[in-house]
Parts: sequence; structure tokens; C-alpha cells
Amino acid sequence: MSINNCLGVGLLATTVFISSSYASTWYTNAGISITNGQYKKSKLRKEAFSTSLQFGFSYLEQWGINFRTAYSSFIFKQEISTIKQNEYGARFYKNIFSDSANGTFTLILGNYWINGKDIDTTITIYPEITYLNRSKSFLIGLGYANSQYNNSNKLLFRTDQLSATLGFTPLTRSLWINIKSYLITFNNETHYASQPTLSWFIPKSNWLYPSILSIGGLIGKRSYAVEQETMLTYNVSDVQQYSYFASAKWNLTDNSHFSMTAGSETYHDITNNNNYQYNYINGSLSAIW
Amino acid sequence: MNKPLNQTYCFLLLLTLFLISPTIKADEWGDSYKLEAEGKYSAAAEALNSFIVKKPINEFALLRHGWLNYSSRNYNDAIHDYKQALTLNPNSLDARLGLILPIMAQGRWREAALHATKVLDVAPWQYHAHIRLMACEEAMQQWSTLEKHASKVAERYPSDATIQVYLARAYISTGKINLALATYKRIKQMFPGHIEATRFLAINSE
Repeated sequence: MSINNCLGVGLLATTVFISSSYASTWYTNAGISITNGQYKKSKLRKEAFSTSLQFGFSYLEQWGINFRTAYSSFIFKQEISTIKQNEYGARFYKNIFSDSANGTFTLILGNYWINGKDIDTTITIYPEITYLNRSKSFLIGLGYANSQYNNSNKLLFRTDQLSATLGFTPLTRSLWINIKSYLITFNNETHYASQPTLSWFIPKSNWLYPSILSIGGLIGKRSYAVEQETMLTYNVSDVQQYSYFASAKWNLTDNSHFSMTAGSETYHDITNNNNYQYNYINGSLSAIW
Repeated sequence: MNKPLNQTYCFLLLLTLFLISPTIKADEWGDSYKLEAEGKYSAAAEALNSFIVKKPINEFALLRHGWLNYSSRNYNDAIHDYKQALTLNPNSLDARLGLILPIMAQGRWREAALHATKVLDVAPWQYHAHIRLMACEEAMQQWSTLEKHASKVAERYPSDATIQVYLARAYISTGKINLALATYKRIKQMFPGHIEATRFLAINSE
């Protein structure tokens, strides 16, 4: 082998070693999530099961699109038949890097649908804008979600949701406090709720130790809420009240993650004047490449 | 009677302007360096505007304009300058390496890593490209990748403390504390007063 050939092979080997991870402008992500929950003290509800698939693409850090599809079933007590619903979602985002504002503005547009036999079809449009400063120590966001509940293409009612987000790092950069507040109006009713979350980023992490631990909850009350982060629309009339959860996320590899969440949500069923709890556990697996 | 005299004056004036024009250009460069030394980066960039607006565009002025915009935290303008420099000369490693800096400053780690990779495609052991790529890997928490990358580059630059720091941080984040200890001890040999190494060794050494 000549010196030139040796050099060529050497260069090629180095190129392959370095380039393999970052040579692309496009990134793909995918994830699967399974949730199982039991209802406690409910006169009607017994159990819920949901499985969802998420995937998306992004062009470097500039823009991206995510899709979610889910299948959920709600099992009832007595003679009420099980409700099965299909959920679909698409969320587009575009980052604008601003020097004058010393941070990044993100424009988000979410579009979510729910349909199924014996349920109202729900269509949600959710534009949102967030600002994150360059040192990633402060975030604010403002969003508006409009949901239409239809039965056989006939509009039953609309809900309007205003959401405001505040996130910041207190004391140390390994902690993040996020508070998302909701103001939801429908049928002349107004609900207000706030969702605080505390996350702890653990610097030393591998597949044994979690990289992020989070606890959070919900204060206030809300119905028909839409969550942009989880791409979820809560299409139930029951009023969600105080709730709490704990979650842990593990890095399986640099680009694959596993997370577990356990939580409890309290609801008020107005029709039956019944307070009940929904205790759930969720497992998610995600990867980016 | 005055006409020939006026024509002579006009001619002399034009001749003087023509003769001093190179001096004005030279002063623009001098002014730019002087303003940079005074920390007036935006003004230092403005002093070179004539070289990058009029054609033919001066490639070096464009690179320097990019650097000065980066220094004055006008990252979008710096990105524009470096991209224009790359359009002028697609083989310019200077422009590509310069471009990485404002992109990193905006936290666009994947994009910065992409440009560092493009430099390494043609110059596999280019020091600055490796260092900037390691900074991206750290920011994106690509710890296993950073560990492999830093240990390979450390073989080529065994006396470089910066690479050792990235290696030590990767070891910590992947839970390899003994390897991190050994690496920080090496850094202390290079820089006895190294703050990060001193702190880590003080906490973790028995």
C-alpha cells in the first residue's frame, strides 16, 4: 500500500468517525408511550388505557414538525360500554434567534383532533409563542387554544384557553421551575388552573441513574384543557382539580431515553356530583437520530 | 480669463484626491484595528464597510467584519458575513471556523457541529474544529460521543489541557469517576492552579 493510499484510508477513517453523528441537517425523533390508569371512588369510571406513537423531523435547530397518534380506551362500571377514541396531533415550530432580545423566540402551532364512536369530535388549534434567554435560565410563553366540539359535523360548543408559561432556574442551574397557567372559558364558565413543575437535572447520569427528576401538580380547576407539550386535549366535562405527579428520565444512550411517570388526578363529575381520583402510571421510550 | 485657472484647480484637486485615496484606505484598516483594541467592535466593523459593500468584495475585510460582529455580539450579522465569505471562497476554512462561533453563541449546537464536521472532512485534525465540536457535544449532552472524541483527539494533542477538561467532564457524566480523577490529575500537572481540576480533586480525592 502506498503512502498516499495509507493517508487516504486514514483520512476516510477519521471522517467516518467524526462525521457520522453530525453530518446531517435533518434530525428524526420517535417515541412510544403507554399509560394505564385506575379510577378510585368514581361512580362510573373504572380503568383507562392509552398507547401513543410520536415521531417528528427537525431541520437543525431552525424548525421542526412533530406528529402524535394515540389510541385510548375508557372502561366504565355497570352497563356502560367502553369508549374508544383515536387521537391525532401535529405541531410545527420555528425558532427565531434574536440578538437584540438575547435569546430565542419559538413560534409553535399545534393542531389536535380526537374522534371515535359515541364521542364528540374535537378539533383544536393552538398557536403559542415562547421566549428563552440565551443562558437558558428564563422562559416566558403565551398561547391561545381554541377547541371545537362537534357531533355529526354540527358544532356543539367551543372552548377558549389562554395559557401563560414562566420558567426559571432558582439558585442553581441544575434546577428548573416551570409554571404554566390556564384560563379556560366555555359555555359562560371560566376555569383557572396553574401547573407548577420542579425539575432537577442530574449531571452524573447513565442508564442506572436518572438524568432528570421532576415533581409537579395542578392547583385550581380546569376542564377541556389542551396541553401543547404532551399534544393532549382533555375532552371530558369532568373538572380536573388538584393533581400531582413524579417522573424520572434515564439516558439509555446519548440519543435514546426512557421515562416513567406516576401521578394522581382528582376530578369532579358534575352530573353525578361525584369526586373521584385517577391514578396512573406511564412509560415512554424515545430516540433521536 | 479665470476659466483655465479654474480648470487647473479642478485638475489639481482631483489629482490630490486620487493620490491620497490609498492613504484613506490604509487608514480605514488602521482605524479598524485601533477601534478593536479600544473594544469598540461595532465601530471597528463599520470602518471596513466600504470594502464589503463595493465590488469586488475584499474577502479578508469580510472575515474581519464577521469577527468584529461576533465580538460585538451581533451574531446574526456575523453569520451573514461568514456565509458571504464562504460564497466568495467555498474552500475557506477560516470562514467555516469563524461561522461556527456566532452559531454556537446562539445555542445552535447541531448547526455548529455540522460546520465543524465540514472542516474536519477536509482537515481531519484541525484543532479549533475539534475543540468547537467538543463544546457542541458537551452542550448537547452527548457524553459517550464526547468521551470517545476527546480521548482520540487527546492522543494527537497530549499536552493540551482543554481537551483533557472535556474528557474529564465526559467521564464524570458517564459515571467514570476514577478516570475523571486521573484526567484531572494530568490537568493539574499542566496547570497546577487549574480551578476546575483543583475543586474536583479536593471533593473526590480520599
